[in-house]
Parts: sequence; C-alpha cells; structure tokens
Amino acid sequence: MSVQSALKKLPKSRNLVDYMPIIALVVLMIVMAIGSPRFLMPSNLHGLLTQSSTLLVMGLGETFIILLGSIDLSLAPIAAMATIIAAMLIPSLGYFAYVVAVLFGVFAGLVTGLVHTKARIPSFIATLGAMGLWTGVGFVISKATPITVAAGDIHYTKWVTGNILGINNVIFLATAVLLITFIIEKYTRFGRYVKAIGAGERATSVSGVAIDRYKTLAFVLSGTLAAFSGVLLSARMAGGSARMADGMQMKAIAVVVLGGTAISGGIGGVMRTLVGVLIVIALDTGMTMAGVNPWFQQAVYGGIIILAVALTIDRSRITIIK
Amino acid sequence: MEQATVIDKQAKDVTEDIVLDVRNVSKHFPGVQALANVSMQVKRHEIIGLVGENGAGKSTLLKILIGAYQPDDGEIFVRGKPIQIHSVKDATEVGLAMVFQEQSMLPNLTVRENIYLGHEESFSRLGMINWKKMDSEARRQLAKVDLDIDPNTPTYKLTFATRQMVELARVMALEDLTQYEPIVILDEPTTVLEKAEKELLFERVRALKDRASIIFVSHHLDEIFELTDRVYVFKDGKNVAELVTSESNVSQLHRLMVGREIKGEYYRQGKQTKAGADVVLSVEKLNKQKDYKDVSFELHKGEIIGFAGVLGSGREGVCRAIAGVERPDSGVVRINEKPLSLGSTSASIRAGIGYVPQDRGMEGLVLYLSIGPNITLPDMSSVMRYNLLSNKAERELAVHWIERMAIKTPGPNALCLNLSGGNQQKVVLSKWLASKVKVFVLDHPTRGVDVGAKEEVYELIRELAGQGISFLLIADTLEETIGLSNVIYTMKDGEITKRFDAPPENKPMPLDLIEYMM
Repeated sequence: MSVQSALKKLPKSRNLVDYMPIIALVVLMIVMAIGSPRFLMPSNLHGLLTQSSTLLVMGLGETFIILLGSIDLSLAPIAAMATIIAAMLIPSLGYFAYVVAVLFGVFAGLVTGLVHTKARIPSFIATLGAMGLWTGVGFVISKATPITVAAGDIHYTKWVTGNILGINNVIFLATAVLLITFIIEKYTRFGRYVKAIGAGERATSVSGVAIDRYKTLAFVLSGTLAAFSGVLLSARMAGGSARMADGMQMKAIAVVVLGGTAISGGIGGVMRTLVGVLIVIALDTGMTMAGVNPWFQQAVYGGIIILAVALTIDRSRITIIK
Repeated sequence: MEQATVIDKQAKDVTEDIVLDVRNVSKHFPGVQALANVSMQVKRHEIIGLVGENGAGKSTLLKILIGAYQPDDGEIFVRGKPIQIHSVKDATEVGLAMVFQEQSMLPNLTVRENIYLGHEESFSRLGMINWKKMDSEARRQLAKVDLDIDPNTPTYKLTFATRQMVELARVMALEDLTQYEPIVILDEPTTVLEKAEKELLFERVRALKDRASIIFVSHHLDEIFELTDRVYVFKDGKNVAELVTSESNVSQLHRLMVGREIKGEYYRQGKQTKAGADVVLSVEKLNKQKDYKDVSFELHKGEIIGFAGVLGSGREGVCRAIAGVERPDSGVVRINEKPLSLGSTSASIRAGIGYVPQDRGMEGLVLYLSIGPNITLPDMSSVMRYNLLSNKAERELAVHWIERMAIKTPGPNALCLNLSGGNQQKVVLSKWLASKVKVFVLDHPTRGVDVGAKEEVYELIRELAGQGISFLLIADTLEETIGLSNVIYTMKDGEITKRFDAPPENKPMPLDLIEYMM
C-alpha cells in the first residue's frame, strides 16, 4: 500500500521538475517580447541562433558526460585549441585543417577518458588537469597571439558562414549535430549504457556492460563535439586564439543543467540541452537589454548553475555530498 | 498483597544489578518481522552470548542498541532508567558501544584520534586540542587492553587484530568519558582473527570483565562456551531460550536454533525434478585468501545446489566468483567443459551465467530505469532493428515479461524504483531469462520479498529447473536451502564440509546440517 501511495506522489513532483525548463523558457520569452518588441523579430532570432550554435554543439557533448554522472571541464580549452589548429593549418591544408582540428578533439577526449577510467581519477580532476594542459598548449602554439585567416583563404570558412535561403549554415550544422546526438542518445547501445551507468553503475556492470569502454567513448564524443564547436567558431571569426572560447565552459555546463539534466546522472538528454541553450539566449538578451554589466553576466551564470542543480538534483540518491 | 511486596522487593534487588534491560522489543521490515517481542538482560560484570542463524534478528537488536534502528515497540532500560537511543552518540553517552564486525576505525587517523573521535571536546581549550593530554589518556586506555603502542601511530599501519584491540580500548574509554562501566558489544569479533590472536582477544575480554559488561555475538559455538556466562538463543526474530552457559551444550544450542518444521509444499518439493546427467558447471579448487579454500563441486543440468553456511563460510564469495563479480586467487571454473575466464561479469554472462545479487537495488537493477531497459541491459540485440534500438520492440519485450512473470507494475514505463521487492526480483529474473542463461546464481533471492511473492519465486525456480536450467543457491534460511535444493553443500570457514543429497522424499534435517556449519 505504501508503495502505491508513494507512486501517486512521485510522478507529480517529478513532472514539475521535468517541465520547469520549458516553463522558464516560455516565461522568459514572454518577458522579453513585452520588454522589447524587437526581440521576437525573425532577424533578431536568427542572429541569436547563429551566435548560440557553437554553444549548443559544445553543450550537446557535455550532456553525455553529465548523463554519466561525471563532468568535463576541458571543453572550452579543447575548442580554443581547435580554433588555433584550424586557423594555423588552413594556409597549408585548406579544408583538411578542420578535419585535423576535429581529430585533435577525438584525441583530447580519448586522453581524458583513459586517464579517468584507467588511472581511476575522478572526472572532475582529470578534466581540470586537461583544462590546464590544453589552455597552456594553446597559448604556446599560438604564441599567445590571435591568428587570422588571410583574405585569400577566407573562402574556406564559407561552409559555416554562408547561408541557404537566408538561414545561416551554422544553424543547419548545429541542428544536424543535435539530430545525430539525439539518435545516439535514444537509439544506440552507447546512449542507453551512458544513461544506465549514470543511473546505476554497479548494476550496469553486473549486467556485463563494459563500463570503462562506454565512459571513455563518452569523453571522446564530448571532446570531438567541443573541437567541432571550435571549428565553427574559428570559421565564423575567421581566426583562432587561445582565448576564443573564454566563458564557454561555464555556459556549456549551464545549458545542460538548465535544461533539466540531473547532475547526479542518468536523467535528461540532448533535447533538454536545446531548451537550456534557448534559455541562455533569452537570458543573454535580457541582461543586455537591462543593461547588466557584461562582466557581471558570468556571475549570473554561476548563480544560475547552482540554482538549476539545486532544483533538479535528486538528494535521495546522494547520501554524502563531496 | 503481602506476596506482591515481596516480589517487588526482589525485583528491585535484581534491577540494581542489571545494567541493560531490553523489554519486549519488536522491529518490522517490509516482508519480515525482524524482531518479535524480544527481551534480554545483561548484568553487571557479565559476559552474555547471543546466538542464532543468519536472519534470526541478532544484528537488528544490536543495531537498535547503538541507535542505527528505532524499535517499533518495546522499551530499553540502562541501569534502571528508560532510554531512547536515536544515534551512536546517544548510546555512547550511557556507555553502550560496539566493536564492529567490519572494522570501524578510520585508517588515516592516528590511534589516539580514533580512540577519542567525537570526544575531542574533553581535550580542547578555546578550540585547540591538547595533544599531550590526549596522548597520555590514550595510553591509559590502551593499557586497559594491555596494548603497548604509540598512540600517535597511524591506524592503517596496524594489523587487523591490533586495530580490534584499539577499538576495544576506544569502547573502554567510555568508562572515563561517561563515568559508567561500559556495556561492550562484540559483533563476530573473531571472523578476521588467526587462532593466536583469538586467544589473546579472549584473554583481554576476560580481563575486562570486572570493569564492564559484555555482549558477545558469534557463529562459533565453541567460543560461546569458552567465554560467556549466559547465552540467549534467537530464532526468527524471537528470543527462544536464555541459558546458563555452563549448564548447556552445543547440541542443545543447535536444536534451539533450528527446531522448525518445514510445512507441506511450501517449497514446492512435490515439483522437485531429478537432475540430469550432464555436468553444466564444474568448479575445481577455487581459492581466495581469507574467503574460501579449495572449493570444488559439479552442477548438473536442472539441478539446484544449495550452499549452507554462516557468515564467514565463504559461500557468498564462491558465488560471486562464478558470477564474475569478484576474481578468485586461483581455481578453474568450466561451463560445458569450456574454461571460464574469471573475474569478468561479461565473460560469465556470455558463458550463460546469470547473477541475482543480494543487494538488488545496487547490483540487481538500475532502479532509475524502467523494466524494458533493465531486461535488455545484458543483451540488447533482440530489440535492435537495422542497428538502432527499437523502443517498440523493447516495450513489447517488457510487456511479454510483465505478463509471463506476473510482474505487478503501474505500466511498462514505470521506473523499477516504484516496484515492490518481489516484483523487482521478477525483473532481475526476467533479465537473465531474456538473455537465455543456463545457470542462475541466486544470492538470497527472497530477501526483502514478501511472503506471497516468495512462493511465486519458488514456483518459478522449480519450473525453470524442470526446463533444464541449473541453480546455485544461497538461501535466506536453512529451511529454504533444504526445501529448494537437490543437493546441499555445507561450508564452514571457507571450506566445503559435507555434501547432502536432498531428494523430496528424504530431505536432511536442519540439525544435520548445522553441525557442519558452526
């Protein structure tokens, strides 16, 4: 009987948390639309989506890591490295420079994944170390100076900066990544196992799933997508720099938790991250309209991460908070 | 009237001597009455023994005494005063403390820090700890157990036996911290000890007798006779006997612990089938240090082998090794004559072994997934279409098993978290049946499963055995082991001590087995 009554209570409270991101998004949209009629104009929305595409791609990678119950702090530095690699190699390799940049992301993700699983180092520390590593390497190879794509090579960036029927290519590219990651999450063994590991690693392991392999693969995926977001960024900015992805790391985590993916793992998904990105767009615009000091916007995101996690975390699953 | 006053006066004399008085304590858990109306008294300077099978309620009572559980009913008096114990702190304040079966010392702290963990205020001034004072006090406590070590030694550097002595010293420190003579609970203290270490422990415990009262829990009855003044026997959550140790003997205790009838067809004995001739699984000289030794046996097609043993018998370890959850030190396991790669769950699963673990919520199921994803966790191939997961196929599979196993659920998409223990267990069994395993390793399969659902599980085990699936079973009670098994192996201290045939018409009696277990 007690199970039955608990059952009746449970879905309600869960549903509220489930729908909160969507409700927040709608409320924000309405507030924005009232505050500035310009906000909902197609040209404005188009601009906002273009700007947010790189963040979405990075956030999609982070989603899988957070679904595992882990965290990746090295994504923005990997993206910055990718901008540098792309910008440096375009003169000699052309389009192939972008491939190399993405391959770097595969490599960087593999390294963190292996350090995390084989040396059994918590993801927080493994990726914190990687963050330091790639930031430093980025400054060294770029000699701490921004690299610009020469005017003669600018045509190599058009696949990102061009448009089809007036819609920027970068939006199509980010949408494609969204759909691919959605399929990975919902329809592959990898997607299922990532959620199962996040929800119950011991039981998943006792069921014969090779935990380390799937964890490593998740880091490879997030590293790859971070590098791809760096590629998009590099093409849009027609250059590369160790500082190009500054501020993105916190936002990449913010979009995942704002969407309602639980930091404790197992619950959430990439579509929630899309909602998270849209909320961030609305917040960014809102803060700019309200004249919030741009430097202070970081502080707002810091607070928002904590608030979102406080609302979505399932405390019954965590006995000791470290 | 006159008579009543006499009794009253007598009662008063006795209570002055009684330091711990447990009166009619009951505790219920879902599906099991862990303690029913249990009473127990411990007198000043007395060593009492507490014996009973696994699940008899000993641990529950101990946990109530140190505040880990709250009783549903009953009262506890310490030195004549009724008390409520809500935490370990409440217990230590009246001088009640336990030396744990698994050691509870923090290995990274020093001996003195461990002894006074939680009592630092006695040594602190303006928030600063006076280490010198703590040092000399710790030395005094260590002297009580005749231990001459530097209190500033990190605990991880000590042997287990020494750590246990330190734990004992820690409990004895309550003497000074509370001004009471401690009531010391020793929960299976000899499990990790060598023979010489055991003798030393007993010597120290006896020496402490004139400044403490001691509750001694052990599966080794010889130890009970060696150490205790009185002994309480628990069975099925009830206190069935209270004896003066010197007036009792081992076989009397055995009888009291197990004397239970197996009623009719509870375990579906009538449906017990004969095992086939083919050996499905053979185990040769399986070893793991401090767990089990030279374990060998053969499991036949459709056979149910039950392992009977108490804590420390090694039966759980053997089963977990076969399931691939733990890696043995040495030994060979063969499945259909092919050697099994040890220490890998996926190898065991590929070889056709399904493990139903004791800790269902942790190892059996992913509680935060629904039934379908749990069933397909070991093998998703049956629900993949064109290399992509078909949610439709998975839901159909879930519905199939919900019907086949009569799983009671609000719907196929409900999280396993929301199912009852019995229904969760059916999901675990479905998971392995869907993966077409040939051998089940059942580690306490009816734990936390209510009575009705237990019978369904028994029915199912019989049915599957009839279809040629084989089982290794660690049951919750001796009766369950006997009732379900074709063959029973008793284990003691990591070794198989005897093999019993258990055909339905000629089941061994619990008393026959317990002799080889304790």
